[in-house]
Amino acid sequence: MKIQVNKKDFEVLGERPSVADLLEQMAPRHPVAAVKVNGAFVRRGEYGTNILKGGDRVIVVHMLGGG
Amino acid sequence: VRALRENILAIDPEVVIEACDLRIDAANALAVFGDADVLVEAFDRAEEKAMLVQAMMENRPEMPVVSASGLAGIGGNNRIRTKRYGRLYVCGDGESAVSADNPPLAPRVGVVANMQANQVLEILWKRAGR
Repeated sequence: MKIQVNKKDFEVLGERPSVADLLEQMAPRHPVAAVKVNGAFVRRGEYGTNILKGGDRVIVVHMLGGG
Repeated sequence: VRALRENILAIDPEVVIEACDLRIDAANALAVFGDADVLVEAFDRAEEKAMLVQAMMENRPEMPVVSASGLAGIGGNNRIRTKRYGRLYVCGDGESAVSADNPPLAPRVGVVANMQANQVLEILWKRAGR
C-alpha cells in the first residue's frame, strides 16, 4: 500500500498496517518523538490501533542526539 | 543546575529561576514542566529528547514545544533551519547526530540554541498580540 512518509512515497506492507507496523518497517535509526497522520498527532499508545489507509500522509519526527 | 543558575544570574540578576536538581523522566516531566508557557527541549540524548517531546505533545495539547535535533559537527550553516509540525518546532539540520567522530561543538550548538530562543520569543510575542 502506497502512503507518503515525510513527503516521500513509501510502500507499507501488510493488509491493514498500523502506525506501529510502519515504524517497524521503517526501522528508524533514531528515537521517534512524534507521528502525525494526515495532520493529526497520534499518541504513542495508539500506534498499534491507528490503521493506515492508502494515500495517507505520515510525518515521523526523529530526534538526533546532541544538545 | 546550580552552576547554570549562577551563570544566568551573572548575565541578568533579575531573572527568576527555579532550579530543579533531578533527572527528568516520563514520570516527573509533567510535574516539572507542565505549567510552562513554552517547553524548550535541550537534552543531550536522543531517547530523552523523544521522551520529553512525546510527554508534552500527548499531555499538554496547547503547549508549544521547541526542540533541537541535528546540531553536531561543523559547517553546513544553510542546512540548519526550523521545521514546524503544528505546535512542535524542531531546530537543527535533522541529520547530524552526535558521535565520537562528530562531536557537539560550540558554534553549531550555539546557533541552534539561539534559534530555539528566537522561536520562543516569536511564539510569546505573537501570543501577546504584538
